Amino acid sequence: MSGPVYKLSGKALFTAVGDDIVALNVDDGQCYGMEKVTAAVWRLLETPMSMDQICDRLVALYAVEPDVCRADVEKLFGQLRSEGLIEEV
Amino acid sequence: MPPANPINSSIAEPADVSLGSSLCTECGMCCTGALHDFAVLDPDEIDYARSIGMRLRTEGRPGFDLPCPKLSGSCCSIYVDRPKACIQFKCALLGRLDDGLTDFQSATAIAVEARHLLDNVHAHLPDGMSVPMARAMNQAPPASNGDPIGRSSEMRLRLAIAALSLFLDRHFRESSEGTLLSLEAIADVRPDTEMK
Repeated sequence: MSGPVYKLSGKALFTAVGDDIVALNVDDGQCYGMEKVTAAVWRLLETPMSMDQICDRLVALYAVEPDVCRADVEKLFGQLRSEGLIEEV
Repeated sequence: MPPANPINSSIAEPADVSLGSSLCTECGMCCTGALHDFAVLDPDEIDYARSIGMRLRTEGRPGFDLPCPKLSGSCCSIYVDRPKACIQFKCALLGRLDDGLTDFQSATAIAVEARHLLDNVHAHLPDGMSVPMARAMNQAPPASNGDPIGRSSEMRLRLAIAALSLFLDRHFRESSEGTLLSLEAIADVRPDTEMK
């Protein structure tokens, strides 16, 4: 395992809507919709994981180059952290 | 008995409405206030609407607030004489069924899921709050009243409303496709809140 490990924030409520995820930050009431790969990342983060572990799982699941996957996941993690939806363990 | 709505006879319905009608009676989402806040009436429908006990808005465009008081379960109790706005409205799901882009079984499954999500919203609605009122609440910041139980209930209602809105965007409204890796902030502010 390498790098920090992340988990879903205690401030996040969420529910599944079919394959999608709807999450809410209880601090500000803002809601977010996640579909496809974003929803898959969210489900993976129900178990604390590093970014490397997430990328490994996504590369195994989807037809995506590791470098592209890593860049996209870094961007997504930046969004999730800034919105208070995930946090470092 | 109130007079029949004289307006409806001027609107021709499609020749084969059986599948669409069956879907609508499984659904009724457009009558519940989940999709729209308000249904617009033509001026010549106002007297008829009043005669059957519809409470009409007294300001702005004539019409009535949703959920429709004539909705019974998922069916219209004045179906034969329903307003023009109701006859003419077609959600995206019904449009796809009519166009042969989905089959009846799949469309019905979506309607059933929408009703589950709406039931979940109703389960969290406080007394006196309608679905359109809850949607409006979801656009405003949470109240900071220091009541943790009230706040927790409000957050669960907000989540339920957001889940319903996302599902309706996906299946009942004409909405844009989502992107692959993105976080989509749900903002259910729609200028077109009227069914007309």
